[in-house]
Amino acid sequence: MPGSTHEENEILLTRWFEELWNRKNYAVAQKLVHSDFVDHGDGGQEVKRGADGATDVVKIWHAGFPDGRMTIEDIYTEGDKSVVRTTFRGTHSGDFAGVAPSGKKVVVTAIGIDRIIDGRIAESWGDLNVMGVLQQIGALPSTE
Amino acid sequence: MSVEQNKSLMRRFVDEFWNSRKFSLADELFAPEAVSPVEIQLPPGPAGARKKAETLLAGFPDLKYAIDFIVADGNRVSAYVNATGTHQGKYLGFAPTGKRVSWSEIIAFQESDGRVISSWSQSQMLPALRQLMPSPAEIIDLYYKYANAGDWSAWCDLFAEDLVMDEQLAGHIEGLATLRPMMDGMDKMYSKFQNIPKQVITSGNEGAVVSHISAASPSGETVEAEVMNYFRFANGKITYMSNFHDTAPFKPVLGGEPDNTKLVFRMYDCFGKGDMATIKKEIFHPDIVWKMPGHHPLSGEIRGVDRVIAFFDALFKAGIVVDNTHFGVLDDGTVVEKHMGHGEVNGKKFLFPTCTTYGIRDGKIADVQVHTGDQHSVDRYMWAQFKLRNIPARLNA
Repeated sequence: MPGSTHEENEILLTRWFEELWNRKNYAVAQKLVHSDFVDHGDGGQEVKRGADGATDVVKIWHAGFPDGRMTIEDIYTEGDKSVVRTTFRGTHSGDFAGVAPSGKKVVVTAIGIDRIIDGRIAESWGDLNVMGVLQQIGALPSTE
Repeated sequence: MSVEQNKSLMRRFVDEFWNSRKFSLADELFAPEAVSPVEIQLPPGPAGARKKAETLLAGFPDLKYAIDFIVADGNRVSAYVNATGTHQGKYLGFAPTGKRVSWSEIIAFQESDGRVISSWSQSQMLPALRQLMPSPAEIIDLYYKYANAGDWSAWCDLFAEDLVMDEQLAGHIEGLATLRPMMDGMDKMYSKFQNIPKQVITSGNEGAVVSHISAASPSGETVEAEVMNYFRFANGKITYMSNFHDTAPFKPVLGGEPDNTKLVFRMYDCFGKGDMATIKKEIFHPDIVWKMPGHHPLSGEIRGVDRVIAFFDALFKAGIVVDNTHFGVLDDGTVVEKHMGHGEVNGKKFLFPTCTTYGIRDGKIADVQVHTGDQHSVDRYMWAQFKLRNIPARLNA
């Protein structure tokens, strides 16, 4: 259904964050994510991930921050792309990006852009703020 | 503003402000009250954009952005951009590597009346930063290079913000904010400091180095010591360091409690040799006060280096011989001297049991108080030794 509306796209992304990130319902990824899902990694290069790949990324964050919660701050759409601004809050009580648990509470904001095709998330840019987390848990120097 | 106008605003920000380095354009693009809710280190308004550019361009002076695509709706506009730059300056504390790196970034604006009122940006910079991070072997190399050049600021940059250090002499140290001011004291502690690595071993994120320190205290006393350092690294920084060495060789630079009695011994030594120049320069505080109790011609408060020296000259003429002398230091650093003085006038012998306390200030003798055990015999003796001139000659003009 190439003609999905802005509203439908935004509902889809809200479900992604609410059901997968906050309720840890990993199975729902199969319904929300396109089988050809492509994530653009940190350097902008394409990284093929599929629904399982997308879910694995969320699991990595949950392992590091078991109490992590995503809040959508803003969401808007033009054509098939939606911009989502989020805040992630959690306690660093598991290994994350090679850093042992620090017990620190982090609050990081992120901006992601997602392309919706056929009612599913097909492509995404940005999304998560690993660098911000590493700075807050003391693994990277702060930006001046 | 229309969606197209907001897209144009974004393009001008990237192409003109950033790529053409037209920083004055920020005044046109950003409202004075514009905020950066994520980058709270930035000041509000156009100054925030300029501060961000200043920090980033210090690390990557040739930085260029290329817009991949723009998404806009209502008063909001976002751009997905790719950045490329050469690491020619310090960034996040990482010394310039000359490496050309690229990263992606999302810039998001909220607009009102044609100007940005809120801006967000998120750099996907981690893979680029990893290329700038020195390896453990490179960090160890820089650790000794900076130490031996006396560049303690660059040396501190090698450590993570939340570093932990167990230093043989300084103890347990946590955090770069604690370490930096401590390292400022190195120049005062050492007149020379060289730490030459002999064996360097790294394994994963750990390292160990056996080295030899050749150093000297400010007064030129030398330190020669064998040392081993153990390091742990993460994300291109030293997160933990401990060192192990014999403490004894460092005695010349470990101020500890200075032995103030040595100062009093030096005073006697200089008086004995008649070396008044050294007493004036190194031993007596310029504001020295010497308090001599009693009712005799030498009693009173003698102030100033020259008068105290003249007073000593007179005291020698009194012909008092001192023995049974002992010294101690009080808890405030004051030196106590206890002695027995002997004098003889017309066959009559006098004993003067005496204490003298030497208050030390700025490493010099500053406040001296004589405590006399038998004031009456001191007064009698001194009056027998010194005759005052007749009035008015004995009055000061």
